[in-house]
Parts: sequence; C-alpha cells; structure tokens
Amino acid sequence: MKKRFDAYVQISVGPTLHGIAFTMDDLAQAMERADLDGALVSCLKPSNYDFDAANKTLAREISGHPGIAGLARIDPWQREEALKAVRRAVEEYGLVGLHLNPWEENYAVSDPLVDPLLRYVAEQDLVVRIAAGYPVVSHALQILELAQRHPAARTLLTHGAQLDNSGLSIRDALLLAKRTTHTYFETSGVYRRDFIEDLVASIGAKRVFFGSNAPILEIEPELERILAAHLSLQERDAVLGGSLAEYLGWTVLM
Amino acid sequence: MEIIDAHAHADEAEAFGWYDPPEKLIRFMDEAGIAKAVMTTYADEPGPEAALERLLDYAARYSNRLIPFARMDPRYGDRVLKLFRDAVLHYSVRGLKLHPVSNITHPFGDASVRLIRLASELGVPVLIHSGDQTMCEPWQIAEAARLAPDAAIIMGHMGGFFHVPEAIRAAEVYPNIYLETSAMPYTRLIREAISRIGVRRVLFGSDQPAGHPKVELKKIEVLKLPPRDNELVLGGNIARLLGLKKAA
Repeated sequence: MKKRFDAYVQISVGPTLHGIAFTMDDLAQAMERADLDGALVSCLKPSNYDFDAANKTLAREISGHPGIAGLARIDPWQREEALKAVRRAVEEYGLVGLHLNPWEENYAVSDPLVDPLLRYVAEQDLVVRIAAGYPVVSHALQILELAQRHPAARTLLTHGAQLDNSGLSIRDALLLAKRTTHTYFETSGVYRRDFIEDLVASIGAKRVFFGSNAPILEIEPELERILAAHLSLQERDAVLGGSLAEYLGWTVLM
Repeated sequence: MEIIDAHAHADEAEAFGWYDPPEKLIRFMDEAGIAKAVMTTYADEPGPEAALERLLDYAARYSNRLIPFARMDPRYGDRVLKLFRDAVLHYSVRGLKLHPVSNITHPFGDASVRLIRLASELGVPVLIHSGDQTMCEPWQIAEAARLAPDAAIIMGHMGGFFHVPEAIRAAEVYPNIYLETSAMPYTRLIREAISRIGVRRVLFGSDQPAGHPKVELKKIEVLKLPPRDNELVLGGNIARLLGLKKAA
C-alpha cells in the first residue's frame, strides 16, 4: 500500500484554550489505528496564548517521530513579533511552515496584516496552511484575494475552503481552485460527496490532500470520505498521501 | 436491522446544478446497505420546477424504498397549505420539508408556522434544514418548535458546522425537536447529543447523494453505541416518527 499522510492534525503541547487534549502519543496511536504513515501537525491553541512557546514545544514533541512535520501557529495580530516568531520557528525550531487560523485568532484572511507572513513564506519557499471556509474570515473568495496578492506562496486550505452545509459555497471554492495554481485543498469536513471528485477533476489530484482535522474530527470517517469517493486508484493514492509528500518535498515526511 | 435514512434527496431540477435522479439515490442506498430513505427534492413547491410532481413520481417508482417529504414554499399561504394537505391525504407524502435558504422565509414566521401546524394536525413530521445560514439557525427553528409544540420537528444537519452545540441546547429545551446527523462532521457532538437529549431523539441521516452514505454511517459506527441504541439511531427513531412500525 502507498504511504498515507494526514494533512491536517493539531496536537496539544500543554493546556489548550478549548480544553482539548491530544498529545503526540495520542496521535501516534490514532495513526496506527488508521494505518497512517505521517501527518502535518500544528498546535491546538494554547490557553496561555503563548504561541512561540507552543511552537517550540511542538518541535520538540514531534522530533524523533518519522513522518511527522510541524507548522508554526502564528497570530498575525502580533505584527512584527509574528514575523520574528515564524522566523524562529523555522530557523531555530525546524518547523516547515506556518499555520494560520483566522477563525480562532479573529482576523479576515485577506487583511494586509497577513501579507508580511506570506511574503516570508514565498521568499523562503515554505508552506502555509490556512483554516479555510469559515464564514466572514476565510471564505473562498477572501482567500482568492489573498492568494492573488501572493502567487508564490504555496497555500494549503483546510476543509476544501468551504464549510457550508447548504452547498452554496461550493462554486466559490471551485472558482478559487481554478483561478489559482498555487492553492492546495485539504478535505476534512467538506460538504457534498462529489465536491472532492469535482475538485480532482478540475485541478488534478496533486492539489488535493486527505486531512482529518483530528482531534476536532475523527480520522476514520474522514478517511472514508476519500475511500468512498469515485476516484481512480492513482488519484486516490495521490490524495491519500502522495500529493502532500510532493507538496512538502519528498524527504520531509520520511 | 433495517437502516432508514432520515434525510436524502432526489431531483432533476436545474436548481443548484445538481442532477440526482432517484436511480442514483437507490444505487447509493444499495451500496451502503440502507433499506429506506426519507426523500425530498432540491426545489420547492409551488415553483417553476414541478417539484411535487417529480417527488410523487419518484416515490411511486420506488414505493418500498423512498419515503417522500414534500418540500414546500411557505410564502404561498393558503395555496401551499391546500397543496400540502392534499399531498398527505390523497397522495403518498409522509412529511414536510422546509429549507429557509431556498425561500428566505423565517422558520418561526406566521407562514412557516401555519404549515408546521398543519403537518402536526396531519400527523406527519417536519424536516427543517438547519445550519449556519440566515434563518436556519437552531434557535430560529426552536422558536417554531415553541409555537407548534405538537409538531415533531427534525433539525436536519443538527446545526451544521458552527451551530451544533446550540442545536443540542435547543433540543434540551423543546422535547419536540429531533436532531438529524448528516453533513455535520463532529462525531463527538453526536455522542454528546445522545447523552444530553436521549437516544430516541437522534436520527441518522446522510443527505445522500450530496452526502456520502458510507461516510455518514461511519460517523455512527465509530460511536460504538449499545446495539439497542444503535438500532434506534439508524432507523428505529425515524420509523417511530413515521408510524412505520410499533413505537420502540
């Protein structure tokens, strides 16, 4: 079987704001149960709001775990300090990019506040993962505005960039996908079975990644979302792991 | 155990660009081992799409598998009340579906409440789309439940992506609210709902063929419910509401 990687996991590296505990050990067990070979992780929001300390702890927790790569959680409201924090996370702690959560950190993703961070991502050829599809703060077309300002920032969008159980944001997410070539789509929680199929048909499996959003969501049903989709075996293997590995650089998850 | 899906669709309307004839739904049901499904259209009646006519046609073609809920537009006042009454009394319709996104009608506005009360008088349940959109929030639907306390109101998607905790709290307040599990991805909140409002008011739904029934069934499977509770969620509860068999 080809290697399977999870593009969206968060772990707790201390007390979390929402009281959720999911340690690196918990993740290792969950991955074993689900036959996963690796994951792209960031930290759940720490209750003390000290993202820099949490990023440092995350890097320590994941070291020695093959297949695990870490992203720095960054709050753009920290402005110059945010840029320093991401530099530290990458250059000192060894993380491979950053994770932005406009929903939990309260900003519109298209706000110029985010620009210095994405410029850094592009300059350093890092990756950025954005909690996407959230109303008001990270709707697909807000992301499109951001993405068009940063065509060299390889941007991974969670939830297929649409969290809308009326289905009315699907067209927006597909527009974003087609209008850009540097956006990548993670699949946790997405509405409509055929959205994943349409996405793969529109932009190719190389830009679509399986993700679980563990521990907020459970890995098994999210994995089933891919296994049950009508994809070719080659496409399915790519979505389940190959595409993410290529996106990160093949050696990162090995 | 017979699995009954409390929320599914078939329609060949151009609305939304989704082409899902009943054969597609039946194929999905067969693949997932689902015996019966509550079926609604994507389009409302009255409207330009002849939705009710199609619904009745689909139900007639698969009468042992599909349970039609008529998707009605409350804005048509007395006309829609008559249409719905006739659909239940003289045709095969077994429930009412309201989708405030498509007709921009408040679930607790007079027009909607009159329809909901009529469904209650006719002894059929009401499935209302709930979620994060305007006029679909749980407390808006809960107000309709308050105004029509004898109606069995099924909150489709149990609050969507961002309103599930509110849906659970609303169902704690109003015993005539039932929570249907499709499209919301949080298995731990299904477990919490069962714990807080009791297993008899939580209904498995898939929203197929929009939702994938295998994914939706997996959400229930991972809960590892006791066998009796599992049977209620996967079919017993909706069967009881529909009078398909003796109340469990």
